[in-house]
Amino acid sequence: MTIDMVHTTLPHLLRYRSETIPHRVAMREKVRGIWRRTTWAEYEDQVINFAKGLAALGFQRGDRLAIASEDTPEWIIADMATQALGGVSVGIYPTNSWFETQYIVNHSRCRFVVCGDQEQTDKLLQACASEAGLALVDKLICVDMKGMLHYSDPSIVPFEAVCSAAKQLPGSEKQRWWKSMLDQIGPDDVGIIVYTSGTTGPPKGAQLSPCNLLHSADALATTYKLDADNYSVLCYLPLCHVGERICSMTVHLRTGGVVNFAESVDTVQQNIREISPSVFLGMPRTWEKHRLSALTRLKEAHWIQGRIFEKIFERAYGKLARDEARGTGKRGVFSRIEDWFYWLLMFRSVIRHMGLDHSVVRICGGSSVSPETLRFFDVLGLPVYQVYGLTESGGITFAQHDEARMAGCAGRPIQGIEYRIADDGEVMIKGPTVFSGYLFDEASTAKVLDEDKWLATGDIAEQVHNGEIRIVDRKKAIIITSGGKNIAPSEIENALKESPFIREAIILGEARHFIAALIQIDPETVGKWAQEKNLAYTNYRSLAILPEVNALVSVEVDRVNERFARVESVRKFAILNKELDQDDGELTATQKVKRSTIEKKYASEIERIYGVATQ
Amino acid sequence: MTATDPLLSIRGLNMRFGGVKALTDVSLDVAPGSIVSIIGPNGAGKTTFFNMICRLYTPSGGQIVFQGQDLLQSKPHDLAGRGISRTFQNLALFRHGTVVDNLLVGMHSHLKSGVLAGAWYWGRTSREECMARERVESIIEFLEIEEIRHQPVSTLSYGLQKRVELGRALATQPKLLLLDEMVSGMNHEETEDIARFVLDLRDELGITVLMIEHDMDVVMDISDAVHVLNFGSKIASGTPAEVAGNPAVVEAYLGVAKS
Repeated sequence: MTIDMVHTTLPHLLRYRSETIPHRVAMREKVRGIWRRTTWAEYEDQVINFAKGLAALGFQRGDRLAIASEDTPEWIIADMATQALGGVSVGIYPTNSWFETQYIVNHSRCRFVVCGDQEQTDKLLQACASEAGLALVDKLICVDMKGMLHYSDPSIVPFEAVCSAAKQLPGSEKQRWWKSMLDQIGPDDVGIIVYTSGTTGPPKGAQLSPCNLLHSADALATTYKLDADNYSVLCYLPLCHVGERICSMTVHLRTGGVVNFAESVDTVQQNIREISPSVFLGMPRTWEKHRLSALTRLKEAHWIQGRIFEKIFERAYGKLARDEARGTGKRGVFSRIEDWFYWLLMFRSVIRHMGLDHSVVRICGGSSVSPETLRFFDVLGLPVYQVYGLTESGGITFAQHDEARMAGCAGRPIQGIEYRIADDGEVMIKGPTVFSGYLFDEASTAKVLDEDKWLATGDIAEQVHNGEIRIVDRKKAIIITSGGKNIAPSEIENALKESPFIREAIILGEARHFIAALIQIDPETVGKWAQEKNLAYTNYRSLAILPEVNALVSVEVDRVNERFARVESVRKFAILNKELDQDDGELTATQKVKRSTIEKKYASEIERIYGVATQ
Repeated sequence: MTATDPLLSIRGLNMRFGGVKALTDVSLDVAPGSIVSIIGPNGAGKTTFFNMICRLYTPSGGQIVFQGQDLLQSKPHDLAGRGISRTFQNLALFRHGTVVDNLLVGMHSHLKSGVLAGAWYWGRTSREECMARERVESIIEFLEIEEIRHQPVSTLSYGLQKRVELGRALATQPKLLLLDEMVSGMNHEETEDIARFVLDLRDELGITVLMIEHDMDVVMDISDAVHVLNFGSKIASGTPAEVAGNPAVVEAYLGVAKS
């Protein structure tokens, strides 16, 4: 039995999996220290139970259900059940504040909200009690009831209770009902709404159909040759983001592999090591962290080990450059033996420490990254593929693979995607993955989607000779200096962030006569450095204002400046005296910097940079 | 004993160290399922009072009744088995053991296998060990310390060590938990966490809590009843609001703290 894996819905695929491979493991979750398995048949059964309970609560076709939770199997079960009932699920970042959550729930007119735990429930109750309230919300369905024994709000229902009624029903009756539900849903109905993180203005709800999502899942599975035997991922990025949805839901259903759930947010790094996933999707920050954690561990190792690693890394780095210069021809036996020797002596244990020893495909997406960061993994023999896409384009639309992986580029378009680069350099995308529009916001939709369904991505890119594209920057982010030079800040920012001491960098210079930077130091690494140098500090602020730290950052900035043209070099910088935080409106839920807020908030620092210079 | 009887009842407790009267005629009741705080300035006799309940000191006079039974007849090492557990003002953990090891020690009073059976690890022993580990894992989940379960205690921050100590006290499956200055030296966030855990362990595990605490925010927020000691005598009791409004208390304690 085979079915069309693209023109279908997620619940249909789930049914297909539970019919063809019912006893294979679909999910693993670490509970109380032990990895517990859920088979495809059990997965489907749990979805049916929740769907039946949800229908009994009055959920109807076209209703929307919001999910505010950390990543748990219940997240996916709720999402799947909602889509099966002909509803639409709306993911909410668990890190959102109560008013951001309130905005999304109200804007999308959700009648039901699934809350992961007490923290999320409290946010909704607070939103409910506020002036704007949550007028349309009927029920708050809570997964983990810990700490809420005494909550008396009548809208609260435990997730377990919603599922319990259907558990009593005979299997055949459930299946009949399930089938009748699946018959009513189609591949082109809106299945999920993903709210964009909104670096400017309030978040917008991009509507995606199962077909949008499954098309890119199919393309990824084909490109990277993923199947049930080699697909295992750790679900750790927020599921409301389209990237994790692709990994943990659509590609999972497409391949029939395994999704693993981390024990808690704090244990992700440990869990990666235990699971050693075969496919790993990371944001640039994740890869930076991986690299840093390996390097930090090496520093703590015996000095001889550290020296050996440095030497070997240097040699391997040079060898890789030579191999690449020689082109894609076959490598000789000796060259391979040399690589194997490096692996045996050093890289093997570093790779194991990062939990990447079984990884087959490693992907980096979400925002641009410094090529040098990814180079580290290349040298270890673990190439990281860059991908590019937007929420509006259904997630991943450009992907690197073995034949196209030039450093700093974002890959070739996936199958079925057309693209062109407009006169001003903006990438335009057309294809089956492109979304149908923003919810209740036709004006915004019209701005990005023209009549021929070409999506304006808002990203400036260049065509590269091997068919890949290279993303330069966000169109809005391009800085035009008073001298009339166009400068792409993210390239300089990423180069600065390569330094272990720099956590975040914001390049300034719009209508100014030189480039400057606001820099947030990494309190952990700078703190360690300060300790080694016997410098006293108490918190981030006291660390940031140390003159020695300023000198340290200055060296890093100079190092970066060497790589760029004179007009692009950072002439002055200021170290931010607090860490940027989502709660303070400085970062989005995906940890992207909200430039406009920062420029307003740190206006005095910025004035000081430019003011002194003009005198 | 009926449901309304106090879990712990103390009558006319006296303690004398030579000529020094550490505690004079203290009486109080702890209702089952309540959180009771004892406050007072340094040297008011709070820890002495705890040490008597734990049977580390034998009172010079008075009565301690736990679940209708005279506690003064018990030996200190029997207390865990009878359902009383405590944490210490200064940490008392096995520093080189992992978090799991430390929690398993707390399970000791519930494990019945002897040394010989343990050496063979057969039948009941292995079942018991699995059960103990399962319990320990549920405590780890409750206290949200999954990340550090295999780390030696000595490498942890002070706040986390305190949390492990609380976990070990919970591992004895107590009915009454004595907490001695749980949040001293903790930052604001750690303090809030502990306050939440205390409420949760009362609500979800049904454990009665008697605590000595200096952090007035915590005391006022989570206690059902507060008793105030000063120079070894009880000078006030009542709900947090009543105690906070009592002039004698303000003078003896709150006033000093505010000045």
